Amino acid sequence: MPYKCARCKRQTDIESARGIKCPYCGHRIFLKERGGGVKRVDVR
Amino acid sequence: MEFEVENIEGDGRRAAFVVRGATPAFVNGVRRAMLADVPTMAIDTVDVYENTSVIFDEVLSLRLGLVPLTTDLEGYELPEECSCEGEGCTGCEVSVLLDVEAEDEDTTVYSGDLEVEDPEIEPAQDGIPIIDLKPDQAVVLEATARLGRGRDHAKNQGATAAAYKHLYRAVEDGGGGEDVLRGYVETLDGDVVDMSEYDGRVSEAFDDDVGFETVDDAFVFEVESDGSYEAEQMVSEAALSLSERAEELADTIAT
Repeated sequence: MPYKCARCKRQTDIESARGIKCPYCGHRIFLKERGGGVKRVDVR
Repeated sequence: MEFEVENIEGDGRRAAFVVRGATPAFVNGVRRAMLADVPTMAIDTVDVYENTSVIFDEVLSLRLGLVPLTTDLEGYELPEECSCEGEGCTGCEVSVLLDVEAEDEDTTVYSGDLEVEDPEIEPAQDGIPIIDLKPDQAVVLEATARLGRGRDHAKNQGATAAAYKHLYRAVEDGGGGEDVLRGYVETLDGDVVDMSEYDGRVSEAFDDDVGFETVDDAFVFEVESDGSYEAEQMVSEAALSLSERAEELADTIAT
């Protein structure tokens, strides 16, 4: 699952061995990226 | 059962009329048919291609479902009554597109931004706000609208207000007694007046000794549509629906 660093905006994977930390800037807040597919929602 | 219907007010979405010679059960049946049985077009599924706004896809979709669309009962069938048996075809569904991007400034997406494939179907009002977009946020989606009934989902309830009450009638030498009266009142001449024209003040509309009583078999109906139909068409469709159900019942009993 790809995530984006909230500070440097680079895409990265979260690896448990490394902890929740951006490998580029060290920031600890990530944003989940939206998947590329089409999402169908039933309006009910 | 024979009854008379007299229009007293109507301007497209709103209508008020008097029904004489009917029973409370019958007028309540019409009221319930307007709320639950008259089919209206509404967005039913949404394919979200892009949504970078702060609103979840599901919340956005539910908002779209509640946007009233004008309904064309000649051109579309209910999915369960369509020859495609609900699979989806041009006879029972229509495509609705929304493609909006906020470029340099905050943008509000309105119901008027929805583009419907069929020009007969359109949002009943253009100014319903759906979502606020910040710069660079975008929403791209394709939705499918289908007919449905209010008894299955509130988004398909075309009548936003449907209510009735007994008609009041003015009587001579009634001893007065009422200071304020709301709604419609039959005058001594047989005309029906809207008391809101007098701010409800009885003394301005009638002589001092006039009293009031309810007319047992006369009802004042007030109907307001969400824009799916004109109010008058809504009432006609409700009456038709009642008639069809009564025929169905008679057929079932006969067999």
